[in-house]
Amino acid sequence: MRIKKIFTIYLLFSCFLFLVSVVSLTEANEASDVHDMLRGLGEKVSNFKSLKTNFVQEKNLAIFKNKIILRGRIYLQKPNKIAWHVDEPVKYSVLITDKSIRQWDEDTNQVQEIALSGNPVFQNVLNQLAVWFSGDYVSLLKDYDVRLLWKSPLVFEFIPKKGNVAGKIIKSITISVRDDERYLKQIKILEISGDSTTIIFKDTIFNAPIDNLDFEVKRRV
Amino acid sequence: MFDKYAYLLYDYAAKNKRLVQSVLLLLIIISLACLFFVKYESNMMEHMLPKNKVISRSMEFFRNSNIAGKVIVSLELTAPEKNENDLLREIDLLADSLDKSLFPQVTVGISEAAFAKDIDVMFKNLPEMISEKELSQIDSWINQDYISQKLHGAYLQLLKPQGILLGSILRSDPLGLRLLVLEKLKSLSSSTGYDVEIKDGHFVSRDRRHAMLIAKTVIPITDTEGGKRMIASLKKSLKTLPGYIRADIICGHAHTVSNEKLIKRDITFISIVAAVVLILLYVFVIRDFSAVLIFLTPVAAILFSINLSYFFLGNLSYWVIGLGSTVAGITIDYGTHVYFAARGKDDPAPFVKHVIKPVSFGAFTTIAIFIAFFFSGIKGYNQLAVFTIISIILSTIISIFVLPHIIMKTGNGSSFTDRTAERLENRNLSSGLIILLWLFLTLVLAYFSVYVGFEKDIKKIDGTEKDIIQAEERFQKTWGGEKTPAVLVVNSKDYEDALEINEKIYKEGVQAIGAEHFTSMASLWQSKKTRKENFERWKNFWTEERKQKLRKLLLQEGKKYNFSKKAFDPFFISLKEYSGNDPFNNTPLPPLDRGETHHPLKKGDVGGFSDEITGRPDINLFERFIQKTNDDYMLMSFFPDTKEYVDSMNKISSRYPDTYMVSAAVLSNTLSEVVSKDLKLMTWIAAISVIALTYLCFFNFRETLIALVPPLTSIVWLFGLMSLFGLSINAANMIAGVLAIGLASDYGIFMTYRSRGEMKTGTVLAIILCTVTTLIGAGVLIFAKHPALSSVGITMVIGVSAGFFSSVFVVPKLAALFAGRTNKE
Repeated sequence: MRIKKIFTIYLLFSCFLFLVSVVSLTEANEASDVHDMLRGLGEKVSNFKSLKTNFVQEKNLAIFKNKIILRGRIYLQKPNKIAWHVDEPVKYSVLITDKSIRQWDEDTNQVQEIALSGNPVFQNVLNQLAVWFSGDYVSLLKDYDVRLLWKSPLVFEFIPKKGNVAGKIIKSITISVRDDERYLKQIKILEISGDSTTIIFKDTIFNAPIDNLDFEVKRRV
Repeated sequence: MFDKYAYLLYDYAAKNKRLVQSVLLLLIIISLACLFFVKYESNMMEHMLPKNKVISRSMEFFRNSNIAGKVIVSLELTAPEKNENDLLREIDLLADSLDKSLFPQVTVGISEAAFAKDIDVMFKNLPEMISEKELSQIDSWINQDYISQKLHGAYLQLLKPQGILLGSILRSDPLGLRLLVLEKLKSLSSSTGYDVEIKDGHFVSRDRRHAMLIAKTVIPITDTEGGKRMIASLKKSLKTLPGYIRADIICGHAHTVSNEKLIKRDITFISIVAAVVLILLYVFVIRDFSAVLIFLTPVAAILFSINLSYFFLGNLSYWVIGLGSTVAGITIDYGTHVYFAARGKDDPAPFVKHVIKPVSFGAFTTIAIFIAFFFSGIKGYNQLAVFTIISIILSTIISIFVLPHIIMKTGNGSSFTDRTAERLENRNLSSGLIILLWLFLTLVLAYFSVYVGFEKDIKKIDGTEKDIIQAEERFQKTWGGEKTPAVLVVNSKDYEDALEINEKIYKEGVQAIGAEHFTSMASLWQSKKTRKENFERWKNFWTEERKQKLRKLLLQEGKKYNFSKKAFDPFFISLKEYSGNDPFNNTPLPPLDRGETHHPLKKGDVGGFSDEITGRPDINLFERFIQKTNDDYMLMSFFPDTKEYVDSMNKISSRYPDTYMVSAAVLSNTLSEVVSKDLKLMTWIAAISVIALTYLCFFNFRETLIALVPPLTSIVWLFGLMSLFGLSINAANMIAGVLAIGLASDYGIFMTYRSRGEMKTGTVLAIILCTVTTLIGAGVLIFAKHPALSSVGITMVIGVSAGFFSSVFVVPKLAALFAGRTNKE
């Protein structure tokens, strides 16, 4: 009787170990699958030299009374030039390169240039944006844990790893991919404080000729 | 009296030559055996620096501080298709592969996590860091115009891409108070002198094609053997790098090792060439196997001297042994004179006895020059004096009392040599025309000699190999940092005391040279006393009335930009936290406390905490500014190393006893001043001693003056020609100059003595052979790759040539004209 009891416990324990190893294996396989998918997606998404797209940005910040909705255009020229033009609720333009930010806004009507070397906070934020926009997602894996939320269309969630400074502010970043998987449909940044920013891309055109004027920040008001 | 005792000693040695030779042989065997017990030091720096407060304090600072003793490796991507991710991966692998026993602390960047922690501590202690002046500034901000302008800026900022994550920051700090602290932090981090960016916690260059690794090593910069081991280990690790990465090693050790390598290579080459030429000279000119004993005499003397010097001085420097042996090499001259006096004579005794006096006084004058070295403040020169004097005395004794009895009789020897010696003895080589030529040249060169300078820049005699210099040039092109700043050090056993002095000096320093030129930790972190005062002032500043006024303005102006009513509540909550419940808690500075312990630093480490992810220690912002040594705290502030700023800061430093300055410019000037002062003193002592001894040799004023002509000619020609060729006196050629003057002094005594015409002892041929052998050795040195050795060669060739010319071609005529004696044919 006693032997039977011991045998039962042993059997249950073995089953438990088996289950644990199966779950671990599945998780490991899933992680490996997600990395492969991300690599594949990165290759597709980054397969352009220039890009222009309209966008809508929704800012749900506790500092504001209401949600702020911005509309504008983004021009991207690889390897390191992003122009960001907003028409509503205020007109402003920002040109981001790897060395500086050049910006203009309607209210001041002044063009201002800031060197990124002297501003590590801006530099970090803008470097991150450049990575999200250009599709080099594999490079994010050392700083973020990634999870596949949805397979069709693809939706990934990036959570800052322990020790990553971004984890002090960012809770998660979710990217949704277009059905044809050629570019992003939406990026949502959720902060620890509960603030969130969502950028929705519309009418994205790849490798279309971009006029030099599109990289000018000062506009004729 | 000298002659009487010298002759007695000679006769005794002649009678008991077997005993004397046996004793000598036994002593040589014992000395050889004892060599295994002698301990040597390779640290040249310790021996070559004069005793001086500024110099010793600067060296002590370099020894203790984290600034020295670091090894930097700069990695460069050479393949265009590779990117910074490849570079950073390789530098991480390299950092992990380094030998921890040689490099206990390796860092590749500033950890962003650690940096964020430091900033958190700063922000949490913001009230302690805001000065009275800054509070007045904050007060001036609390008005409608400023708040409106500030909120408009904040609104625009939040809508821009770079403002994506700034919402919560603006809520807790609408006035930008934290920027006051960040600006100070920025000024500290930008004062490193290097053009560095941080990418993923790594040091990278602006072009993102280079990454930097900084390793702290346990090997002192002056330890040649350790340096070799360390560089070999580093190079072994670098071999594992892929082909698309080039690595440059930047460290002081590379200079030490390279200099030694070059010197060894030069000396090997020189020794081979000189030995071959000397053997040929003696085989074909002297044609006597026993002449080899002339060379062996100084070798035996050096052997005894190493053991005796070790007995008297303890550990010997390789540098002293090397240079001392070279100096002792000139005693070959004494053996040569004795050899030619004894050569071919059936009874050499009267001839040898005749040269005992000039040979001995030649040795005495050389010894006198080295006695002057005892008055130098440079420890190495003192040791050199002991070693050299012992070598010269022993070599002279062996040359005079042992060598003549070992030399084989050469009755059937080369008639050519004997005929040449006789012809030279009988020939009058001096003439009025030569005297005029000598006088003219000496006067012209005397004019130029006053312009010869002392080389202050020790780098000019640095023989570091080209590839190391090129690596440093590439490094500076990429990372900057060509100009090392001067350092003002506050030293105290008490940490708070050090902070207080540092603070006072900062205030005075800013007034004297401007805040933009003076980087000090005091701009950010003050003493406990000041921080407590700041904290109290902050509490009193934020009255309910002021808070209400600000709240009202934020609400009123915020409405225009759609800010919510509770938008800035976090700011007011933090004000409450800052000045409400929490008393002043004297939080230690981040490098002194990571939250785990309140105990300050251990010896030698500054901010030596580890990155949570990599486990490697990080460099933090404060590492350059604070350090704990054995018992003291060192707080360091930096400013440009120019005369103007150094003078201003020196005035301030002189008012604080626990402070001192470390400046490369000041160190170089002090070194130059101390060495030239030493040189002047030594020159006077040597000059007086040489004159006195020369007089004792002749007991005749005119002959003394004539005998001094060669050393004086040597000095004037040497300085004059050096000045004409644009050469300067330096620490290396100074010794060579002394040596050349010593030889010239010997030649002067020999030739003046010969002019008495009492006996023909082959003096001229002996001097010619001695000069030729010295010029061969020194002449080969001119072609040495090491600039110090090359300058030694030039000095020796000029000095010895001038001494030879004046002794052989000028002294006989002068003796005939003024001493009333001439060489009797």
